[in-house]
This record gives sequence, C-alpha cells and structure tokens, in this order.
Amino acid sequence: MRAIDTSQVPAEQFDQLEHAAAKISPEMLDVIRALTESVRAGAEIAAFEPTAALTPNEAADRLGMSRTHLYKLLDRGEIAFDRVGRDRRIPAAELVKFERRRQSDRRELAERFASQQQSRSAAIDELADLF
Amino acid sequence: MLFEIKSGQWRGGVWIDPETGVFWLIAAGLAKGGHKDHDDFYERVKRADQSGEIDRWLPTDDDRRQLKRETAARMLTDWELNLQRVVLEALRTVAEGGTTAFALPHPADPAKRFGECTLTVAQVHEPDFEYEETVVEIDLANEFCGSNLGWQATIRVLISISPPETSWDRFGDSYSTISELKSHFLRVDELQAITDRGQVAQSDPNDMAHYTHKNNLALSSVEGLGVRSMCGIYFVPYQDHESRPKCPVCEERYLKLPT
Repeated sequence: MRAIDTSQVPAEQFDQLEHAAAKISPEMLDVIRALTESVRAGAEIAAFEPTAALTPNEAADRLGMSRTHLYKLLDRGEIAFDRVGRDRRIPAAELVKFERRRQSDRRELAERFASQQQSRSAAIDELADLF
Repeated sequence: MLFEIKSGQWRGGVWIDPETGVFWLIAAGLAKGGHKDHDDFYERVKRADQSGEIDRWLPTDDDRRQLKRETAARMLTDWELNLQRVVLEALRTVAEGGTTAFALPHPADPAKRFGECTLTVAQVHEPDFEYEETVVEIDLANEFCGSNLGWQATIRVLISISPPETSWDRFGDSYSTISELKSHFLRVDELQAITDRGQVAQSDPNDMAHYTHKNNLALSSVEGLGVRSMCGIYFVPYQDHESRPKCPVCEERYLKLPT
C-alpha cells in the first residue's frame, strides 16, 4: 500500500484534470472524479495492489487505534488476516471492508446521539409492552 | 363501589380496579349548600348512578394505556439511573487501567437477562504522546439488539463514561474513545456528584462548526441524518453553526479546496 501525497498539487490543477477527463469520455470523467472528490473532501488517498497486505502496526496506524485494540479485533475475527509464519498480515482489501462498515456504524451512532428524545419516547413504548 | 376523598371543599370519587388494584380518581367536584345544591358533588354522583351515566366514568382503554406509559416513563428513568450507578462502579475499578465485566440490568424484571458490558481502559504510552484508550463492548440479549431500549442503554453507558458525542468511535457492538490520561479518574468524581443529585448525565453535542457537503445538509437537518465532516467525524447538523468555533482540522482542509 502506498499513500499518495496530494498536498503538493495546486487545487486548480485537479480542476484542469477534470476538464481534460471530460473531453476524453464520461467514463474517464467518473474515474477521475472518484479521485478529485476524495481529494477535495480532504480524504487521504492510498493506492494498493489487490494482494497488498499490512503488518498489524501499519494497520493500527492507518485505522487510528492502538495495537492492543487491533489485535482484539483480529482475534475476534472482525478483520480477516493471513499468517506469515508467526506474524499476521492484514490484506488491504479487508482493511477497506472494515473501514466501510465502521463509517456506517459511526454514522448510526451520531444519529442515535442526536435523536435521544425520540428514542426515549420509543423506549417507553417498548417498556410498556414488557410488563 | 366508590370511595370518597376530601380536601377542603373538594370531594373526589375513587374507584379501585378489582383486577389490577389500581386506584382511579373518576369524579371530582365541590360539596355545596349542605348537600342540597343541584351542583353539589354528592347530588351529581347520585343522579349519575341512577341514570347509569356513572359507568362511562370508568377508565377506558386509552386511560389504561396512558397509565401504562406513565408508569413505563418512571421505570425508564429509574432504570437509567440504575445503569449509571452500575457504570460508575465499574469505571471506578478500571479508572486507571484494566478490564471489568458487568451485567446491564433488565428494565422491567431483575430476574431476566438484558445484556452484559465489558469495559477496558488502557493507558498507552507512545514516544510522542500518551493517552487512555477505552473500549466498551456491549452484548445485548437477542430481543433487545437494535431495539430502542437497547440503544437507550448503550447511549446511557457511553455518556456515563465520556459525554462528548463525537469522540466515540463504533464498530458493531464495540465502542471506543481516546482521551487524556487521568480523564476517567476525574470523570468518576463528576459522575458520582451527578448520581448523588439523582440526575442522569447529559451528553455534550458536537461543540464545533464543521465543514461538510452542502448538498446533503438541508435533508440531513430535517431528517436527523448523520453527515461526515471534512475532519472525518459524523454528526447530525441540527445546531446553529454560526455561534460555534470552526473546527481547525476542517478549516485547514477547506482552505485547500479549489475555489
């Protein structure tokens, strides 16, 4: 896996890239947009071979968690990994899968925090059915 | 049979439901003119009894449902306070590191299983910075997974441990947050004080103004949907952003965008 540094490219050059892609084909524009929109959203861009794999250290770093927490997720089978001798390697594709689910779980949590009043009212109805 | 209650000139008629033992106040009025007045409470009850109107004073299904909801609301508050107390004791034992597991009480029947919670606090020392990593794992009984009661308990546990909403990360039933060293140590005293006052702790909503895609903003604020900010957190945009300081990470990234 290789992180791509986009900070050295002036923003207007990404605009130019889009214009150029639009002239080639709508399909090429889609491909380029996937890149430029991520750059504009401030996301980090990384490219990896479908077969690339990370060490637990690299993976923990990338996910912003401690190694202990990552090992726990590996032990519980939340993230699939391969064994290289006694070491573990996490396929980059598995990391992406994990990250995608984590993003949607985080979104749901944010919504639950924001709707505490409605949840409470619905919880009262559920509780009223329990006794 | 109607029982009488008195308070000053006021009179009330209480009916006891033979099935549930619930006391219902089904009539009220003033005692007037030495029980001779047409509007006198006893005169009105007598007339209603003779005409059969009194049967319509008995509680309806709606009244019973309302009573149930009021009882449930009170039970929910007691349950949340109870959950908070359980979390407080757990947090006390691992405030400076360690793992503890405890049962989450059932909201209606203490003999039944609701779920379990495992709380792990680890102090992480790295060359450039030190922090506390907290992991909360919640294992709910099947019937409560994804239910509003399940969420109510989860949110209660998280707020008790650390109130800032956007600091919590989530993957499945595992919730984690990173904080400064000693923060749980301080939280224990704070939570004890809140519990002693008989209150439940409040969460701190997102306190900064974040940048996000404006395409999704209007719909999200109306429907209460979460959006992702440029700095990577999720939040529901229901607060006024003008009065809040701008998130420095978002601001920096926003300034890099093409104009």
